[in-house]
Amino acid sequence: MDRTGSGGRYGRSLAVASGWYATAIAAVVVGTMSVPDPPPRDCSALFSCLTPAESLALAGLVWGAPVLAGMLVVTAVVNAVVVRRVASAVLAGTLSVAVTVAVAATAAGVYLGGRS
Amino acid sequence: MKRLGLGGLFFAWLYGVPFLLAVGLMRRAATPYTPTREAARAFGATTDALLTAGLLLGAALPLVGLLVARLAEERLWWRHFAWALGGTALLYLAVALAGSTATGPLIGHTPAHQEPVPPVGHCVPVSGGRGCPGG
Repeated sequence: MDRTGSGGRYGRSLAVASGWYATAIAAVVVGTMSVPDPPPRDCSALFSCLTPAESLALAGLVWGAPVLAGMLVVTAVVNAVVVRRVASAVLAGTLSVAVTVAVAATAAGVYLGGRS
Repeated sequence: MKRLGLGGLFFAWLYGVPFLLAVGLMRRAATPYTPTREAARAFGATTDALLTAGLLLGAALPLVGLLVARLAEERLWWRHFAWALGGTALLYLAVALAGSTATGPLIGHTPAHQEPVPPVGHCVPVSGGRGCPGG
């Protein structure tokens, strides 16, 4: 970890931030898959007999992928600001993700509040 | 080599401990389908193991890192692990907050099982009703 310019630090902190997303996704996948589900009873309706893995994949594709893409863009922008003030790449990447999560939570709150 | 080991230790703490705690908390909050009493107990035991491992490693990994970095005279990594201890304090705070929303204890909880109550195997005399043979 030698101190090159803020360009190298930007890349490293973005890698740390990506690691957080990978960890979160892995935790959700493992946490969901490790909980046993009751065997399905009524399978007549469409999508009523999805296994937890299938419903997770479906939700991930339809809903998770756009949200993740948006969060990555926000993280990249926030990180550019954070990396100038914070010397540590680990701290900068982690802070960027924390700010992004706060932004995403606010956006979700506004979106859900506006719909009801 | 030394730096690779210290880096591995640090990133194992950074991502591994939150991963263990997140999976443990998700399992703790879930209502699993456990048809037998034994399955429910096994599910609870695994969840406890995950949470305990996360909490213990959260403190142990930075402490080991501090020691190794001091011995190897890696000033930069020593600072990283010192900050990691502060991060662990934040993690403990988050787990305590999550635990305060739970009704039961966070660790040592066994989910409900769907095993039917075994039928009464012996005669129970009912007052005013039936008597029992020989009683």
